[in-house]
Amino acid sequence: MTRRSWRAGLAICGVVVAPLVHGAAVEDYRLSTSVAYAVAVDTGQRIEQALSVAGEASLRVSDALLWQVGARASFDTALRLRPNRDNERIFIHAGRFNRRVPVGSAGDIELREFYLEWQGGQNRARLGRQQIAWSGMDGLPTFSVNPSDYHDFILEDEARRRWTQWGIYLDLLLSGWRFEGAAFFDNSVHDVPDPGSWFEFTAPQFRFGFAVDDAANAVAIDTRLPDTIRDATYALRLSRRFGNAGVALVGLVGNEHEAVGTLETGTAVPTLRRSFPRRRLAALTVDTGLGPAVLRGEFVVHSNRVLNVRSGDTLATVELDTLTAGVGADLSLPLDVFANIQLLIDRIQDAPVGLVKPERNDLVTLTLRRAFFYDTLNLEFRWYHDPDIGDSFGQARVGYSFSDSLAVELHGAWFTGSFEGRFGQFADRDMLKLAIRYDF
Amino acid sequence: MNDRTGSTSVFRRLTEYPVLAVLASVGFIVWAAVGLGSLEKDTSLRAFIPVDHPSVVAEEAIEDIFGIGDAFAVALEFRGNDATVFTRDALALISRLTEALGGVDNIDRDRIASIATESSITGSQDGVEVASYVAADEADIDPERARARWLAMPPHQGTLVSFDESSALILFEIEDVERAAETYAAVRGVIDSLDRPDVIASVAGPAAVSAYLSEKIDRDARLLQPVVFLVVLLFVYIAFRRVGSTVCVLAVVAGTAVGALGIMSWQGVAYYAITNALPVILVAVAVADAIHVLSHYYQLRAADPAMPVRDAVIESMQTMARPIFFTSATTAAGFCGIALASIMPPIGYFAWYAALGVALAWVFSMVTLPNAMLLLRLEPSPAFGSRTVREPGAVGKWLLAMSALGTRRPVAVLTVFAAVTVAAVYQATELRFDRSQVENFSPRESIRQADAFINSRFVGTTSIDALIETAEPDGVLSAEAMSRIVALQAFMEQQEHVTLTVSIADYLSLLHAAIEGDTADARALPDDDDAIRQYMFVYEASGDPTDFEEEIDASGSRALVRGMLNTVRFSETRETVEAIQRYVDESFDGSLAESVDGTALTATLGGNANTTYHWMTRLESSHFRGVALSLSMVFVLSALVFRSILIGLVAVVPVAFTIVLLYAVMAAFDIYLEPATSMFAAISVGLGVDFAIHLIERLRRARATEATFADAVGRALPATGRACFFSIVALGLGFSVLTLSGLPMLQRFGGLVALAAFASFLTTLLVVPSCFVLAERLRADRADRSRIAAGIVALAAAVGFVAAPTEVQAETPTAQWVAEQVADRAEAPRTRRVIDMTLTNRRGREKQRQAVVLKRIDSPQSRVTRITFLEPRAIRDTTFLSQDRGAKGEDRWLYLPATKRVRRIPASDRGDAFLGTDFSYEDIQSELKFDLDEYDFALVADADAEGYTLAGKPVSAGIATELGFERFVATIDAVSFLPRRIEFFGRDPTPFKVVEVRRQELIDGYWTATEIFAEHVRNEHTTLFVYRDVTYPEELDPQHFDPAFLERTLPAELRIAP
Repeated sequence: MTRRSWRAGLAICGVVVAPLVHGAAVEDYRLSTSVAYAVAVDTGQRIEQALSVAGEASLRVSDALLWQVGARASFDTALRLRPNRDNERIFIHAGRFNRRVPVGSAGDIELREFYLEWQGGQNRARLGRQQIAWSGMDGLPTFSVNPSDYHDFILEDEARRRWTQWGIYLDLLLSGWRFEGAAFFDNSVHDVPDPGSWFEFTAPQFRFGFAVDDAANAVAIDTRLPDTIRDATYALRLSRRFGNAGVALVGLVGNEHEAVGTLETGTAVPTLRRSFPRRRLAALTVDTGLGPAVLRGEFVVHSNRVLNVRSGDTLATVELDTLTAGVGADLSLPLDVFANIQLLIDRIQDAPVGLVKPERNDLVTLTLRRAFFYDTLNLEFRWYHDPDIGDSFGQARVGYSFSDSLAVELHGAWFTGSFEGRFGQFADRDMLKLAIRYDF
Repeated sequence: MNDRTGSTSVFRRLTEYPVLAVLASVGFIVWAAVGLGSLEKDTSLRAFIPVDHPSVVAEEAIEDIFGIGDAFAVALEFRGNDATVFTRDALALISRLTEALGGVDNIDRDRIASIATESSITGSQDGVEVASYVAADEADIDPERARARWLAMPPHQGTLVSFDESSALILFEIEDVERAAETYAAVRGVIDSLDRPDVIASVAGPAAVSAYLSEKIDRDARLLQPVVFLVVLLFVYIAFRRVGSTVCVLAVVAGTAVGALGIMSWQGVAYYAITNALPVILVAVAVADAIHVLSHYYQLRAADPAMPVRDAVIESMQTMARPIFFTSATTAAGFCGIALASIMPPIGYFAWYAALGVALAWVFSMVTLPNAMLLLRLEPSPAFGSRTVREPGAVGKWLLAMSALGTRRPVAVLTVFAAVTVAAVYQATELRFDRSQVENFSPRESIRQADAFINSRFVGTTSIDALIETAEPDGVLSAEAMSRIVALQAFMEQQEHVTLTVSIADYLSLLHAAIEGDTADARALPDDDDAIRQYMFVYEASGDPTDFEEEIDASGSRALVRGMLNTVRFSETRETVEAIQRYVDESFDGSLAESVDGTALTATLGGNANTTYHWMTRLESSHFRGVALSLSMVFVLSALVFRSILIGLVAVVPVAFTIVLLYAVMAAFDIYLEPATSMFAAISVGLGVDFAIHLIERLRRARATEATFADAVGRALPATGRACFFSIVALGLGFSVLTLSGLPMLQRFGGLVALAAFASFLTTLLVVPSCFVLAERLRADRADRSRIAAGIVALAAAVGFVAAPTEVQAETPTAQWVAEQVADRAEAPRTRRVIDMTLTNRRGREKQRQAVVLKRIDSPQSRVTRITFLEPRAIRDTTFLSQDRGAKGEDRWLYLPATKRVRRIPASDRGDAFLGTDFSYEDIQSELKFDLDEYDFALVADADAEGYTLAGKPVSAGIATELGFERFVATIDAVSFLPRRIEFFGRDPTPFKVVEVRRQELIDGYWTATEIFAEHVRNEHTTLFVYRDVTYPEELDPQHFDPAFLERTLPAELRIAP
């Protein structure tokens, strides 16, 4: 750990300890550990052997004030899911105040939540490191306010995948309308897998159009991270329940979480200049219940979204509108089976030739879940399919709870389709994972 | 023999330190007496309804929002030819009197209204003129102008001035309700000083009636109850002619009455209006116990004057311990029955503390009394002379003569008794439930005359209010809301006894008429929201902005529609209240009003007519059940202690007859059943059981040594009968003193208690020996058996025939009736409780869960349940929310703290497992009730000690599939109507699931299952729910039931046990 990390750690501890000294009470705390072991199906190669410890605590400062603190430490001795620990990763960019703190060569500690919450009557505010989730779709949200960590590909636990960011959040209720506003002064962006890691993105659409073995990879990289203040993210959500339907309008201005690049070839070594331009989106979300079915609909418009266009050795940007729509249903089926079906449609308007991202990026998802023996044995099956490219991802999980504290889970993930697709790129990376969780 | 030796040893030990025992008793009495100092009185009407009952909540809301409470009314009747209020002199007098009343201490000057303080609305050249009727300066008063303005103001007609213009009212409220009686006296002083022969002034109004009644009851009770007590003690002295014995009785009576009331006070239970009857019962019970012991003692001393005092005391205690224990146990059981069945808190408390008092009487009789007798070294009583048990005195001889009737001619006595019972039952069917507070006064009382006057000349003194609410500011100031208010007023005015309704719509229509130059009598209003709001603005600019504070709140989201009724009787207002409630349920059901910005309009009824309605209907639904349960418990306990069902029946006959006789007398004298008079049944239980138990106990003992029961009666009766006679006569005469009160209420009380005392005594004296002798004859002479059995069957049939049309018969347990009782079981509108869940699998491995459950029931079609898990830590704060909208379906949400997201989840079938337990969603959300529309019911067996056995089968295959079972068989508790056990069947003949209510409690008047067990037979898996910290708060913040708020932590007071 660097000296700065120590200083940050001490400062955080100080902020937590000070209220305790002044009479704050620990209202709640949790400590959860898990041990995971994963192997590649094709080769039998060990790809993960990790211990994860997550803890969180709520400190009650006064009737209206609460400190929420949460951290997670991961120690992966197989180092296949995240091989580099030097903070100089090529494709990842955690914000300055948002990085994981390495512990030796095999682990790191990540501050997950660190905020002060004020609650007064129907209103509340949060100040500090936090996350918000406004898209209601399951697994793949139609939009996100905070960036995500993609090291483990798709985790069912979105809260775990989502980064927390430093900012302020207000939640007000007025005459039946709920106003939520958030401002994040944090230049963190998506945390994507390093080269050589198990879930490294190898599809060109995630690599500025370059294939993994493309000679053009031999470039110098210059990254311009968003400015913490100037490029802050502002989001507003206005929601209300009309009878049986919940309706929300969202507006967001902030930086993209995924980089766009330009290639400068005039120098001796071509330079890939990466940046995270501003994005502006508006979204409408609706949900309603019809007895054994819950229906959701979301419609998102990105205005003048900056995207990459590649033509030969040229990598440029273009501003295009994109539309994302999602409809989904949660169904309570006979035999106590829970099903979730979703259709996500992603369209780039007036896409030019050479656009790095696919013009159509649709997705059909199906999730089936069933619990047996009083929630002791849980089975889950997920299937995600891209009808345009034809690639798919499947996942089966079996979980068994020995007690409220101890549970074991086995899950397998397999991928099929074109190597250019978002699932097909992992076609040779099917895996099996066993995890044991113990909660204190 | 061993028993006697054992009890001798016990009493020897108990009397070893008499000074210590007496001092300890005195200490207890002093401690309890200290508690009496903090006894809080709550003689209000509302005390009889649980505080979270919607009628009470609405009433308090109306008081809080609109500042309207029960008012005093001063009526001024101007006499003479063509007498009218609209003369300068009359208006000036009203003005002066209004001013004078405003100066009376405790009268709220801001809440005084008369034609001298109010304004009228008329059109003028400038638009609208809001002006006073009466000018401040007498010389400027213009009677003609005032009359013209009054005629244009319908809301003031019949309220401020009578319809015939001959009388006026001055209405006012007081600041401190506790000083109401004192204020009443001060107001009387003001009007008595008027000195105007042409004006008759009187005071009435609901608040005045309550205050005056409370004061009169207090005054008479304070004066007469000590006299009652003294008469009882005097009679005890006459019976024993020894001061010491009177002191002994006094010690037991004080320990019982002061002890029970003191403990009640220490426990913070208020002294309700009906608690006045509690000391009466406790004195009766305590006197009876003490007299029995003393009688036996004096008999022993009379038989053997040389017998050492200690031996005589121990011998007396030893002999009387068993019957006194039996009488105490049966009497306490009777009170427990009343307490368990009562859904009105004051009656429940009354019965519980009566049972406690009975227990205290037993303790004092067993401990304090023998020690006091030892200390006082009671000499033989001259009243007992040298008679022995076998040589009865005058009283004994008279008693023997009476009972000889029963022993010689048992069939004749029982036949006559049956005939009297039939006649009494027949007469009792005329008994009715009713209430009119003012009728507690003598017809000669001025307040009663004033009340009748106001109800005949004015709009009346009884109110029924409708609180109209929207969530939106200015929501009621919309055309849609106004039209619905006007429609409600029109409906109310069509109902019988409703003489006037007033709401903000009336004033706005007057403004509309004034501005538009239209007529004002049609409640015409513009159909434009903005115009209505502008009218309000116009008025606020022209008149006093606070003029409408009784009609609409400052935010414009709540309005009051007040209806006035010209009768105070429950029987006459009942149908009106029910009709208005039905209208409100249908027309203000919270549905969206299109032009009120999508805002839901709801209405809740309030007013004293509504409160009385709920008070009385609760009494109606619980009174007979309580009496039946009380008698059942007396029967069961008697049967148990005497180990004979026949004796159990014999023991209960005198009590049952006394109750029927009281009902018959009440019906004959048009004394209706209301909370105060409903206590007579409890008093009858207290008085009626004792003698029967004592006599039966003595008869059984005597029968062991005598040849026949007739002989046994001759041996047992003089001693027991004498003791009972003195206690009954003492109580009967004592309570007769109350008939000297000026209040009909206390007269009835004293007279009926005396009647109950004598009736129970005579019934026991005649019927109990007859039953025993007849039973013995039956055993001896088989030939008579069939004849007598036929007679009994015929008698039972006759009684049944006569009783058939009564209210009680309406509750004949058919399957549908039982199912309806289960379905109608009262549920609190707001509930908060903590569940400790234990899930056990077939290997015995347990999982523990703990959750706080909040429930809100706004209507049968709107039930919201929130469950927030507290333990285990891994799922803490996980919250499940269900909004059950009846036929409209159910919505559910789940908040998972790990994802920081509230997610709507699909509603599964009602038969699906509830959150991984053995309960289904239906089990939990229905609160173990059965939807009457979803099942065909049948009674599997007649009611037994366990209750009713009810079978139910879903009416359709679809409902069966949804519920997950083909049929159920449930054992229903006959008191609470909670299922004790439900067996759920699939296609197999054996149940696949069993649900048991292992513990039920009466909490704040609601029967609550506090321990429920479910077993899935096939899976060998069980779930136990233990509910604790159950509270029924008046209100729960609606935001706790809003999906948007699930991610917020519940306040500590809801999460943690209070």
